[in-house]
Amino acid sequence: MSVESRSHNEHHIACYACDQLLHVPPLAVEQEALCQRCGHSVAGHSEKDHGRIIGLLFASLVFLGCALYFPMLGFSAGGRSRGMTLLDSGLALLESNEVVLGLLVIGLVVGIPLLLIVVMLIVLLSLKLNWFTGLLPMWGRIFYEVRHWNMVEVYVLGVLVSLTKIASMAEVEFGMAFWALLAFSVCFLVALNSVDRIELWRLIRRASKR
Amino acid sequence: MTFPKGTAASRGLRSCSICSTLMTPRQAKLSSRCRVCGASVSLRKPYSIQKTMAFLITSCVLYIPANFLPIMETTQLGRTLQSTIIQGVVQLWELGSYGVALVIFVASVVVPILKMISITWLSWMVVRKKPISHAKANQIYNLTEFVGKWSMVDVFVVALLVALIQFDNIMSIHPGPAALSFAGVVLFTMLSAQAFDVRLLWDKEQLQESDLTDLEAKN
Repeated sequence: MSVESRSHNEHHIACYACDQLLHVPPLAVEQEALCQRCGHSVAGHSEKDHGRIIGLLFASLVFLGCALYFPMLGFSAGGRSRGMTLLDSGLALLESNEVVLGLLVIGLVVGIPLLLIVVMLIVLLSLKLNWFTGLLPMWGRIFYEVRHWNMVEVYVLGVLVSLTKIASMAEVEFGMAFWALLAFSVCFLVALNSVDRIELWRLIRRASKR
Repeated sequence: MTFPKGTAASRGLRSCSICSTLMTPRQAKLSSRCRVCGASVSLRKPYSIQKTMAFLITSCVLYIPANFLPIMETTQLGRTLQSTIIQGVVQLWELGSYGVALVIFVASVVVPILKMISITWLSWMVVRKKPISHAKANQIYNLTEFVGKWSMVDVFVVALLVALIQFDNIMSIHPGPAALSFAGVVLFTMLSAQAFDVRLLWDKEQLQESDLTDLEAKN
């Protein structure tokens, strides 16, 4: 089948890495489409049941709320103890007059994940309920523009590193928010990676009739 | 400019980087915006190499204060100790936390340097008028993209320690000026990698095995 002979339908895409024109059929469970020319993974399997992803997203919202509200780590030295919450890692920088850095940390740790969760919820819910479908392309665009700035997994590594760093100085207590943060990152990352980009845009295009 | 056979660009089709909708030359004449999502669409990212280099130079400049100025100030019983990234790694190593020292060393020292070198190399490959090895270039690009954000771990560690260890004179930790510069290094290398258009590598001719043997014969 020649590409020129027919109009470029929604099953044709260009590989992101090498621009090869490809025909990608809908994929079955655990199938992945690789580019013929460069081997780049063009499309992967998408979770068909959006209800499960929506559930995961609500769970991650709850866990993020817990991580923000409860103390994350406690630390005692010289007879005094101190606890911190998730937000404190940015607020303490603000108090030390590192305004830019403080805002950056808060943005990366709380702002961007929150934005991604909310936008993804809006997209999936309006696809499911067929509400406000005209705005879907805009939300989809915001999601994919912001997506690669997600650093939740890096922050979790940061928490583990600082734990080992202070464990040598004094006793460390794990707060509720520490476990909430771990649960949040698992739910969030699973939800984030369970929808394939090509498939999601196929649905958005169909719903918004563009 | 001619594009390799089989690519979307060789047929004048522009692919949207957000929603992968293809735009025909006729549609492109009417608007440069994607008809589905509204993102700006072009055959190749405009001024890709120039932007890549601009972001890269910014991060190289920031890399100097990030390594020579202190990233953390520890005050313990009235004494203040400033430590740079490397000193922090050495302290961790001396405390016996070899694993953590290694993580910080790789994330904060090795990765940024490797990233700067690989982005420069990739840009040089694009600009140079010679065939390149696609597979090798592709591998290096993928690695550069994957590894990028993990350098941020040191900034998060500083933020966490500053928040946790505040006991006035007994012991307190404050961020040093290098923390912001280092965050800048990470962000600008990420922007640099994003500004780079990988497709430019695949637009170049593939280096043939025979070319290599020719070169060896000449040498």
